[in-house]
Amino acid sequence: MALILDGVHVRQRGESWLDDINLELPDGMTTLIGPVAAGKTTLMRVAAGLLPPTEGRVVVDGKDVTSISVRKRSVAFVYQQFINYPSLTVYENIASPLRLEPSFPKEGIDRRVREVAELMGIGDLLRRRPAELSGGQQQRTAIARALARPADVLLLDEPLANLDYKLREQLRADLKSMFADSPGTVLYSTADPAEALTFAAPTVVLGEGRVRHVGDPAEMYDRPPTLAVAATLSDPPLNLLPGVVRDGRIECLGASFPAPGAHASGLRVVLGVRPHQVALEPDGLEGLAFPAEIRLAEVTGSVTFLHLLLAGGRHLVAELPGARLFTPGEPATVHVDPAHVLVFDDNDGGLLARSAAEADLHG
Amino acid sequence: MRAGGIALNAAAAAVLVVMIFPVYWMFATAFKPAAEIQAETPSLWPAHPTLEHFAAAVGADGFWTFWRNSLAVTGAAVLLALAVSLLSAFAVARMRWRGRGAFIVMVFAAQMAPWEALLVPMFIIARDTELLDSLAMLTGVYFMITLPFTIVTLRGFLAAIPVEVEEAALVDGCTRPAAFRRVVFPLLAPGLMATSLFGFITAWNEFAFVNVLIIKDQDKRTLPVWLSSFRDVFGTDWGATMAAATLFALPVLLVFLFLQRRVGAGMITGAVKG
Repeated sequence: MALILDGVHVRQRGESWLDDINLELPDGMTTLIGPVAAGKTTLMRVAAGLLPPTEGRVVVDGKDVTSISVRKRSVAFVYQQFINYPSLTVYENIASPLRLEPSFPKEGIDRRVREVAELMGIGDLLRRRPAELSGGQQQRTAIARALARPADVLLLDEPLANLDYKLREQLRADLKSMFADSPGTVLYSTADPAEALTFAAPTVVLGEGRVRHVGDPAEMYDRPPTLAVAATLSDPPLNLLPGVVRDGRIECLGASFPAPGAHASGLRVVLGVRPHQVALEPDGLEGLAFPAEIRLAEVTGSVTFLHLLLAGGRHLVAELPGARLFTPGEPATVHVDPAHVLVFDDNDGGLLARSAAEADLHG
Repeated sequence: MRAGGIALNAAAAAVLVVMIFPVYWMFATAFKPAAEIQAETPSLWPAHPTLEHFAAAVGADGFWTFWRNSLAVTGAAVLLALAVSLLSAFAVARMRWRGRGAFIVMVFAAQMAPWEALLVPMFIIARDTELLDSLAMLTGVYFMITLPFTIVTLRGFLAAIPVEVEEAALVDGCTRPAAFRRVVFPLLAPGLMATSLFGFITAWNEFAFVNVLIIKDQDKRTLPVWLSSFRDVFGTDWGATMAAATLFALPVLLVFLFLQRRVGAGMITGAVKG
């Protein structure tokens, strides 16, 4: 029952919103990740049939459904905003798609509504109206409504984005098992790398209306094929530093390390350093060391985000374990293990190699 | 209670008394016997309440005709305005079309024009189309007067309902009209109540246009005009005049009492959270 987007373009008012999307999504769950304005919602709306593509086809289960209206398709959609029918009770909200499905047996409705409500943990709220629920409960109701009628295509457009972080973490943990029974294709969009990594489902990275990459999220996190993919899957954001290849080494802000593989001297590169790979102690490593000035320390409790100013006005963030106190304006030395540096070609953003150390190891 | 609170409450009470008193005076006078109305020292409430003035008013020549005219013209104008404005509001709030902006500006402009300025043009139109002395013409005029306000108000109510709620119904399998009926209409009900209340009050109380458009055929008059001529009918029977005025105000009051709970509830409860 695969969902196929075949050469889908969406253009609105002279702007390209989706550019030549070719995807084949198998049964089961797929995650769609991209930054804000990447085209996630547009892609979901095209897949649902709420927005006709300017060009291209949408195929479900081998059947071209591009011109079939949404109400005749077997789809369910969960919005980022908590969308329910305000005038109906939670029970009637969940029952609504079942009542509208002629093939669903009338006598089975009550059992199905209670079953889905139990699954979503809202079994005792059935008689309330949406306005009498918290945000998390409203979104659980919306998801229950989407799950009630088994649909070929279940689309969830950043369903957790408007929830506060505790509810988000709780619902995120529950969601994967809830979709396990869904018979068709489940497409889940998010801007949060943690969601993609938690679900561990095949992941499509979207950026500027284009498919950047498709693959396993953990693998993509570990070896991002491009700078855009690395940036999309990194939270907190990736630190980016400029570098240049010179005589088999990469020079960066006065420090240098062996270049991964053979590259022509003068090639400009971008170094990607994850905040948790930045240390203030050398730990006996022959790492890169940069003099820096402490600007600001954000203590979240379990970690401290230290904002540092490097030579040439470069900004760098270090994620240090524990709550730690720093005095702004003090000097510090930043250490980075070259083994954890991602080196991207400055021209096309492609990954040159994971690291010098790894290149040595495999080479 | 703090001093500020007391002052605010006192101000509210003063406003209430000033607003209510004329209405109360009309009501009280309608129940006073003639002697009490004419008494040198006016009394605040009827000492010997009587219904004789109501009997006089109801028994007056043509009372039921005028009552029926008022009800027919008002009801038809309100229903017509609701139907047309619902469709217009939907088009303005939900659809993108060329000239939409101009249309909204035009509706606002129409609402701003003073009705009295239209008296003469309307008279000329009615005369030239031989629609003088016609209840249909009157209905049309009231429809025209209430339409801009109803469109603007309903547009606001409609715009407050997220499109996604309608879309969700489509995804569930509703047709577009069914989605509107099942999902949008219940949310719109308070707006419909508010606008119909406004339309009803406007049309029911209207005086200037009836006066200009109904000239020969006295049987086509409505209650406000009839009331203004009441003194001629009864001499200076203030009791009967006030009883007739009370009967005239009654439907508006009943309609309001019937609708106000829904209107109020609709204004308070948010349709969607998030």
